[in-house]
Amino acid sequence: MLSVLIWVPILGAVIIGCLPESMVATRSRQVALAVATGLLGWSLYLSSQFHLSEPGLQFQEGLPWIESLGLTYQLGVDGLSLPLVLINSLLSWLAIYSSDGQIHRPRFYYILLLILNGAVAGAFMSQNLLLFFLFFELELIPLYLVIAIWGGARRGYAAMKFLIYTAVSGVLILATFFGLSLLSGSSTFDYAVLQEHTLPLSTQLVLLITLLIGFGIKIPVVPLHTWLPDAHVEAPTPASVLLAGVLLKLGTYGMLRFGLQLFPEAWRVIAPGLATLAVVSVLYGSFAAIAQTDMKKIVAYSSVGHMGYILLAAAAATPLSLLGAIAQMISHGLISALLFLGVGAVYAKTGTRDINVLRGLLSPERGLPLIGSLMIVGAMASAGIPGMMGFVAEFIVYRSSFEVFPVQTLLSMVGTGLTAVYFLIMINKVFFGRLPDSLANLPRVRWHDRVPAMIVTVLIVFLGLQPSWMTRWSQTTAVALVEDRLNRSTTTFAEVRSVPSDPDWLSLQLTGSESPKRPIH
Amino acid sequence: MEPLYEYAWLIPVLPLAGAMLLGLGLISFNKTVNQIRKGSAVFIVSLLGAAMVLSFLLLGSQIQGHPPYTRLIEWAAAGDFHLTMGYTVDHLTAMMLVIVTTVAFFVMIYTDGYMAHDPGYVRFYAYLSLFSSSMLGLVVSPNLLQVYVFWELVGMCSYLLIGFWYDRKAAADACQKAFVTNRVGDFGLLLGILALFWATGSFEFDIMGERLGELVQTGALGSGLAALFAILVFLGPVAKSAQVPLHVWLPDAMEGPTPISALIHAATMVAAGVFLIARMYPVFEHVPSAMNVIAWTGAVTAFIGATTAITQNDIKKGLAYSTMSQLGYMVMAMGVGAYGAGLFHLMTHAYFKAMLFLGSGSVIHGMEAVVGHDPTLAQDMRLMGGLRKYMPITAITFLIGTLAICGIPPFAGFWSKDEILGATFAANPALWGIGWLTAGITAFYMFRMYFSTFEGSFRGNDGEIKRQLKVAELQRMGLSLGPGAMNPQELTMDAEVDEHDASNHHHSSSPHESPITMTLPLIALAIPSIVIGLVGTPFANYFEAFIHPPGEIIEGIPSEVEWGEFLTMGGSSVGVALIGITLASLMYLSRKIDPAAIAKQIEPLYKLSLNKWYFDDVYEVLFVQGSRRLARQVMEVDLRIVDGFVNLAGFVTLVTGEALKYLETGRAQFYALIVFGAVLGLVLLSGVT
Repeated sequence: MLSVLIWVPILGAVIIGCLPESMVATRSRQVALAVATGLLGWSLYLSSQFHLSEPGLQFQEGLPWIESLGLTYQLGVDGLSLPLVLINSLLSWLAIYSSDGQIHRPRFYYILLLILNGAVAGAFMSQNLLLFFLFFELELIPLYLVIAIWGGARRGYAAMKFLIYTAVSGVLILATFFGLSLLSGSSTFDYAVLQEHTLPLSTQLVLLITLLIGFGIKIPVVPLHTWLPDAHVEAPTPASVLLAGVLLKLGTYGMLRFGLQLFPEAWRVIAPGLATLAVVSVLYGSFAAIAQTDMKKIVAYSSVGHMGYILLAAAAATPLSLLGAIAQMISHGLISALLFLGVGAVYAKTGTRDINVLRGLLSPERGLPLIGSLMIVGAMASAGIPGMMGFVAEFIVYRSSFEVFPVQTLLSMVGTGLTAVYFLIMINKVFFGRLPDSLANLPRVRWHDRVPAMIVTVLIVFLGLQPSWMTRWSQTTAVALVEDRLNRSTTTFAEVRSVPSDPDWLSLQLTGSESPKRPIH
Repeated sequence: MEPLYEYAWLIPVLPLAGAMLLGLGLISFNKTVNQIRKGSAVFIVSLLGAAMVLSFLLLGSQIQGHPPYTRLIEWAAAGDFHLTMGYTVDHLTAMMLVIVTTVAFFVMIYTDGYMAHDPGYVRFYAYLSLFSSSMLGLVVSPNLLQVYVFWELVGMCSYLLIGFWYDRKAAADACQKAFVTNRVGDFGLLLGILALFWATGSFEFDIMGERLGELVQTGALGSGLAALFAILVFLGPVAKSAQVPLHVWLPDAMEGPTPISALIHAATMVAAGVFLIARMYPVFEHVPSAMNVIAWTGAVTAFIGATTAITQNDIKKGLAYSTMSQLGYMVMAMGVGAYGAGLFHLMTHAYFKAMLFLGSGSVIHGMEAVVGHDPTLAQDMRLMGGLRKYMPITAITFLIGTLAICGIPPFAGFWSKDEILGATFAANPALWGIGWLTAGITAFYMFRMYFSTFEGSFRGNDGEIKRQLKVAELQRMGLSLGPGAMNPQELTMDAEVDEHDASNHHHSSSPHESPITMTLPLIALAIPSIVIGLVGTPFANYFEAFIHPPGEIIEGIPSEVEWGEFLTMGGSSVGVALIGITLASLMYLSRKIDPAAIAKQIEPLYKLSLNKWYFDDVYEVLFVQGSRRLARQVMEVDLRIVDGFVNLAGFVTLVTGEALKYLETGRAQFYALIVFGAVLGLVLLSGVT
């Protein structure tokens, strides 16, 4: 079942590779789009078969591969990975659909996008640490090449920076995996087996910190983030969409799956530090975004800030906060996709992304009114306006983290306000005002350009109005993730905290009649 | 009457459906939809009309004593954490529903005349409808979280509507300022909501209040902390209801079309803050120190607003500061515990201020025929004068509004303001003193506005004044932007285009009365401005009997006619108003006193008022430039230190330069294979060892 999501795109890539030369120009895109459509359909079918009340892995598959290494082909999804698999299929489809039909070297381009899709899906589904690592590394090659070949003026620099950073990240992650496997004395990299390890806390700490630096590069967490703005600025629009929407999530996913889950005791120790780091990311990213003049850099730095919320929620590690983390991953994926699509459209039509040059693009006759309106929607969603999914995700994150880290949550909330500042500055400069003659007579925006952004917008609004559709996938898993931890920890989680977070408190419902008895100061 | 309550959700949903339909139409069939202007307008207005009828039915049923009705659905659930949404209909809601729907209804009719020649006519109706829907959703909210949701939505609608004429730079900046300032308040509100939820475990107003009271009483929650939570929540109303120090967005928001100023920035959205305080009353009443903060904030706002309004020359800005001042009264009333009085003033103010704004719009509409579509000229009172002759209906209704806001009996404003002042005097004479003084200033600046607009002789054809105004505008733009912030050529270009516009529409030398769609709402709103105060007279206070704090039980209709007290309180406020009016008439009607001479004598005070107490300038330096500087520093750090540290710039460019040569020649597939093979090899190798 799950293997389809990995091997069909690879198969698609092979088919495109074998297309006769005369058909490459037209058929590559069609084949890629057909494969992506099929994958999206298959992911949706899988979700419909997913049992919501089941906390554990579903659709498991396992094949021995290189047993001497402990490498087995083990796949499975739970409420943490399923939404990410879905959004990967969706955004890959959008990326392929929104790719320029006249792109040069189409054969290679679509092959890379399909490989990227398969590799990311594989990483989200792997239940073997080594297998995860393979997919994690595999994903970076196509993206490197896409940036290096189809990127902007400084593409070589950006792509190499991306490659070096991600390679370092991979090395650190691999080192942790080996360390865990060797030190716990098991000969396997099977996730389920390694989860039962009983390493001393100090060892756990060393491993966890190494792992977190690895994933921290990918997320990215300040100060490991500088590859991201460069990569975004130089990457073509579809690659930016995938990079922000899906690839950054590999970092947060890995952090939750392999950090929080494998090293629960150590996680508890460094959680306050992580929360503080999250605040630094949020504020640093937001302030850096205010100072930018390139629209893509603004969106890129906003990603740095918004990924910080996920880190904050992950640090808090309550069932609700993990749900918030997952929701924020999905929400950020869709919203940043919308923003990048909008920026891409502006760039394609005007040839610039400089907010000091652009002006008045909202003009209905000669500007880009629809793209402008959708960008306003994206900015509002990103700033956490209710009615769109950004609000739901951020609210859950704040609501749950506030109980564990009140000060850090408070500071992170400032980031939401700053989001409004930098996006409104961008909207004000780019879309408002009088359209100068130098920008008039832009090429017409065709339906083809609008469809991807409109699909994402509809989803953002729909999930904002109907958040249960988003949260229901992960609800059971989020609870299980924490309970699992509680069971294996020697001391219970709540005792460690001086602030209230006991399950009793969490279960206090709106309609509940009991009033709190604990003194609060 | 149960079916009526079961379908009460239609009240916010009807306008929403209208907005959605128009919005989708505009996106998919822009040209066609833009052509059926009248059809769209009638459609939207009738949907809102239906909501208005429903609201009146609900109010009637509530007056007859129907118990409050609440319906909830689960909106989102996450584990044990449930969020419910729904609607509640009680006395307060019913009253607010009627206020919002009636004002919105008349504003929408007025819009047809005011926006008749605007290319964005249909889009404007769609936004108006969206706003009405959000505002109605806000007033029916059964819990604090839903209030927050709609609170943000009305804020977003306000952003869209202030920036409706987005090609005007001033409007674009104003909507940004409004949104950001409101976000500051909303940050406090959200934080307060989270903190209160943390303390009480609920978003319901009464449960929250009850538990908070318990916690404070048993000492489980420090009273300082409780006050902090309450004040955080109050920050929301501070921003939304334009209270000091977050009031700076409201005057700028007047860049939006005038119907918006009337509906959003006078009658409904800005009053949402007062509404929220009323809803949070069960919580606030347990925290006396927070109530004090609320009362003083209101008083200070009332005073600062009034003193700033004295020197404004833009008719809409003057009204904006007056709105701010009146909102200050309401907030002060809530703070001293005069719950009914505050909401009473909210109601009377909604009608007379909406009418005043619509009247100013009518004036601007008339002026545009003479001076062209340039807000700097069309809205400046120095160019008006003598308009009563040309637009009699506007003049009479404006006079009614002016008398109402000045607190002259028996107009609506007298009863509500008098009740507030009476309650304030009982609570704290110092607050009353501020309120009383403000009442005098109010009368002065409102009559200054009336006299210089409608009396005397028409100055609209005076080229010299026009030229001075244009020069002042250019200087202001240059100053506020700072040197080099904007290409000076753009400034002149903008100005030229405006001139061009102006000459195009320069049709006549005298203004004309507005069309019937604009005067009719004025007349309709004049009626409540005159008589609605009579429901809350001290002789028979029906209003107080209907609207009172949830905890209080009021039997019968209170009529505490203590003639002595009523006469002293009422007499003193009418007296100070009359002094203000007399002064204004001496200065601006008969010109016996020269205002310029007085201004010169008290120049520091005059400058203080003219420069709006320097709030904007201080904020500009402190927050705008401060955050910009911080942002630039962060960027520098990012570029120089963080990035520089890892850059190894020379090396990287060298390597990539070489690599690119190969990639460009099309051997990338080969290299991809090599890289992938290397990674795989690395894995296998390290696995074996």
